[in-house]
Amino acid sequence: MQPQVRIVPLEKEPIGRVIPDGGVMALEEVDLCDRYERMLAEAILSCSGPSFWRHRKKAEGRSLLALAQISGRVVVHELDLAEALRAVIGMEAPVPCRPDESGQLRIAREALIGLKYPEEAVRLPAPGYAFAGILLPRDVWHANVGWPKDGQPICLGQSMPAAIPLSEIVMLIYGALSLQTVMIDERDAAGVMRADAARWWQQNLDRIPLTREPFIRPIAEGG
Amino acid sequence: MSAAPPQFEPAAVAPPHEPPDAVPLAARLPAFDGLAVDPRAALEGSCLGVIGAGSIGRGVVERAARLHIGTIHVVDPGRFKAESMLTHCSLEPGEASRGEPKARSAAELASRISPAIRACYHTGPFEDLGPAALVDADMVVLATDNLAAEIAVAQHCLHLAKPLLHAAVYGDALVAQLRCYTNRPGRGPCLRCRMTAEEEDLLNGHVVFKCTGIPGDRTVVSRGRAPTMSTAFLCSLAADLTMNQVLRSVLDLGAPIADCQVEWCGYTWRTVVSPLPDRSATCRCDHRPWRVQRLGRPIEKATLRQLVAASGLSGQRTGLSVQVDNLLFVDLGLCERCGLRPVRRFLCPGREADTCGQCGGPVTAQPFFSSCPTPLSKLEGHLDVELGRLGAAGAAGVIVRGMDAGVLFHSRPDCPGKEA
Repeated sequence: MQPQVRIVPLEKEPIGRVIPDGGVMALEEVDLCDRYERMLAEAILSCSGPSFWRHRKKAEGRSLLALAQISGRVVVHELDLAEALRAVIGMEAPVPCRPDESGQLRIAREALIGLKYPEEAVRLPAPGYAFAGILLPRDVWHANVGWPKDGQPICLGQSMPAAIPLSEIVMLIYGALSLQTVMIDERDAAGVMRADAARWWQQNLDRIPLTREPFIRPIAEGG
Repeated sequence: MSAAPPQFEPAAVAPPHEPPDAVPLAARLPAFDGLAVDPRAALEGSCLGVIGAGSIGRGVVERAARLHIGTIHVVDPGRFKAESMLTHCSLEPGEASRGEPKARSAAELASRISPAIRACYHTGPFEDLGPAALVDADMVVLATDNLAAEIAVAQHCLHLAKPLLHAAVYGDALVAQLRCYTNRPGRGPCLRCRMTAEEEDLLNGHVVFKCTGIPGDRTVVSRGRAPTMSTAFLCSLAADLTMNQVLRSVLDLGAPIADCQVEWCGYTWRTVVSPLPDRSATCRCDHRPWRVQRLGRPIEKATLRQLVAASGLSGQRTGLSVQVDNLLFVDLGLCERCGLRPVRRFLCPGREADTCGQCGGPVTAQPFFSSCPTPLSKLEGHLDVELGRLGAAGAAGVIVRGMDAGVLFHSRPDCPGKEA
């Protein structure tokens, strides 16, 4: 997988975006668009590991693509099932970035996120930062997002249960980025990855959350 | 910079104890019925891994030392508390109140009891140790109440096809229990398969990880669970049941005990032996055993191409992956001034990757562009470079993994403890 070093603009909604009645609980009912079907088929060619892990990766990869397709805010740019499940996704969400010289918070409109789901995570609970890092923008200003030198890992909680579905991780990322769920108590060893950002947000509680929009965008009338 | 994984450390005979003269084992060893091997050679030539050096594991180590088991590896990240005095055998009050590491204390106890054996310890989590850590063990005793460690050890033993003895107590019912897993390739029970819903909740529900941001780091802030409530004699009984099985196995005594559970209950005064059910097809453990091959030279002198060829898996170029100890293969790092920079070498998690060729600043490994294991397709261009030059100096084990098989190469030095 070649590294993405720029934000790829989100594509328009797949034609005929259809949200199943069961919503995110019925991702297996979503018919993937041609582009995602091809992406999945290509990734499956190099899918390796023991059989339970190969099956799991295929299912998680498909769910990720289905979730992206119905969300209206996520695009999967790359999917790799060779060892750990790895994906590069673009997510439309308000992303808090380091305040400028005047102290004004800057908000990016979208983030490029690297997802990694290792085989071990199906057997054992994992740290909340083990699954995702923000590749771009590189100056995220968030109590639960680590330093750029560490790959801006995003902490989604004290502990993620074994075998947590990848689609849940993606929705948790949206909640965290938009500050719908956030931990800003810097004395808590679990969750806060940047004390400086945590202190800033404690002083600016009125700005939380950055949006109240749900993860799944409603389909626009006539859309 | 050496990327060697954590290694077992030799146990010292701590002052004020002076090493006593070794007492010959034959002075008290019974003439076991049906004994067909030289017991001294068999016991002194055997190697035992003990994961968990608490109230049961410490008892196992102590008894193994009195039996002159030749090599004992002890792993436990915990330290004594004042309460340890209530359940741990042969523990001096000073050791408990000082909060000494349990693994070191148990290994040193073994060394004091039997100076001729080699007792080694690791005071970190079992998961820190590389895939070759227990490759020399004849059997592994699991005596921890940490479910995550139990699963990691069970998976390790499945891969190495090592017999696993899982000792436990249930204090409320005065039950001491021993589960014996033979881990024969392709059949038999698996510890993870048998995990109950309650255990699953315990596994997931209470662990709080520290937010270090380091890939693969499983440092735990708290487990939020109650301590094991038991009595010293019950823990001791579980240790004794375990050592009975160790002795039977090493000396080949009696009918083989395989894939079963032995439970002794203090209320009913009964012992019940029941079979363990076969492994499940839906289990989340990888049940495939690895072929284990010792290299006649240090791993760091081998190239990946040589290892892949020696694995016999080179026919399947797609789907092959490589793992060197627990090292990450770092594809790209970040220089905060110059952006993403190629690193392309193996690194210990959390270490600085490189210096930037452009500005001389630090380059740090980027978790998303790091992997362990690593698909062979990502290592093209490095297949003919000695692993030592790829950052894996001092590596102890390499796994080459294909779709349906894996080979563990190792050149692990012998335990650095005292020679027998």
